[in-house]
Amino acid sequence: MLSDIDSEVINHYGVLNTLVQPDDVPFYGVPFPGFFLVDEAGVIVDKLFNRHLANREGVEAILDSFLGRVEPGLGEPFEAVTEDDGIRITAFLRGGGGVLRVGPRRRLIVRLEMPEGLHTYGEPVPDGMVATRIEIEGPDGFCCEPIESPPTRPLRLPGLSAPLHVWDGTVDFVIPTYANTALTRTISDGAEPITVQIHVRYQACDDTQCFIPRTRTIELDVPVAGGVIPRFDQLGDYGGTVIEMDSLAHIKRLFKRKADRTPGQD
Amino acid sequence: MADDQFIDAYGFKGPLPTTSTQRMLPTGDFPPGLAVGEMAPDFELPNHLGETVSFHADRDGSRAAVLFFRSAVW
Repeated sequence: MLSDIDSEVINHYGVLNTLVQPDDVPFYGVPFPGFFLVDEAGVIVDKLFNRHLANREGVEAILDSFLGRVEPGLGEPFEAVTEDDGIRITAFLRGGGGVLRVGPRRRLIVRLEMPEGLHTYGEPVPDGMVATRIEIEGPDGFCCEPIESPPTRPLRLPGLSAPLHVWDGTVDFVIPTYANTALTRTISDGAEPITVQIHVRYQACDDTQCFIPRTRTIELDVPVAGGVIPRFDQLGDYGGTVIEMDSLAHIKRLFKRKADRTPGQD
Repeated sequence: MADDQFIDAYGFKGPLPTTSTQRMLPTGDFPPGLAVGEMAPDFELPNHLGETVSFHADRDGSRAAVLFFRSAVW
């Protein structure tokens, strides 16, 4: 764990949080949260950053980046179906042993494995065709960020003026998910998992013909653990859980350290 | 500073309006920083034991992950 008090390395790497204003002592100088991966020669091979200063990636995101692929971890919720058109649809929750809790984000992966010769469509699609669409349904407090879709490749067919935008082979759709307290306050550790429904609508085609569009629903049972955030509604009640969250001493040190290093500002 | 802010006893700005930059998300080009394929700049920084860590020398030919975060207490 290294300390970059003057934000020198943060600036060298170009990850200074530019939304925090210079007069905002002691917060000015913080980075956007994220990571770079560096290979043996010192060359950056991957990076992943969050837009909000309080969001962090789990260790699985770093490992997955190193490996260049995402696979479900041991015990993480996983379901797969193979359609009669040969397309296999897999859904799994990656990270933290697949347990959802308030704070860290998990990744819901929806993987389409298309046999050789078949493809599905991304937006925009010509009239009469159906683009692949994924919808997630879960209980209140199960939150999803916008789907990160892999890039499509252009497919030019004779008789069509514009190229089609298709996916083929194996593609992963990634949905960052997290729980908020609306979910965790109704659940105690070890309780029943929640059910998350993943609706996948797609139309598969080969170069000469198309199948009828279809919708497949996959259900994932996702365990939820109690939050790491204190339950403020219970604080003060007899038996309520109070977690030590007082970082005031640390913040005071941080402020003093920063002020000491910034001449002319008391 | 906006009218609806104040500075408290520790020098912190008071309640932040929803338009505050600390409550906003960056738009446009993201992620920031050096591009994939560039050389990671070397650096020397003190660690939590007070020892100086030199990035490229101390990783000694191994692959490495460089994590940036704003606070280690949460």
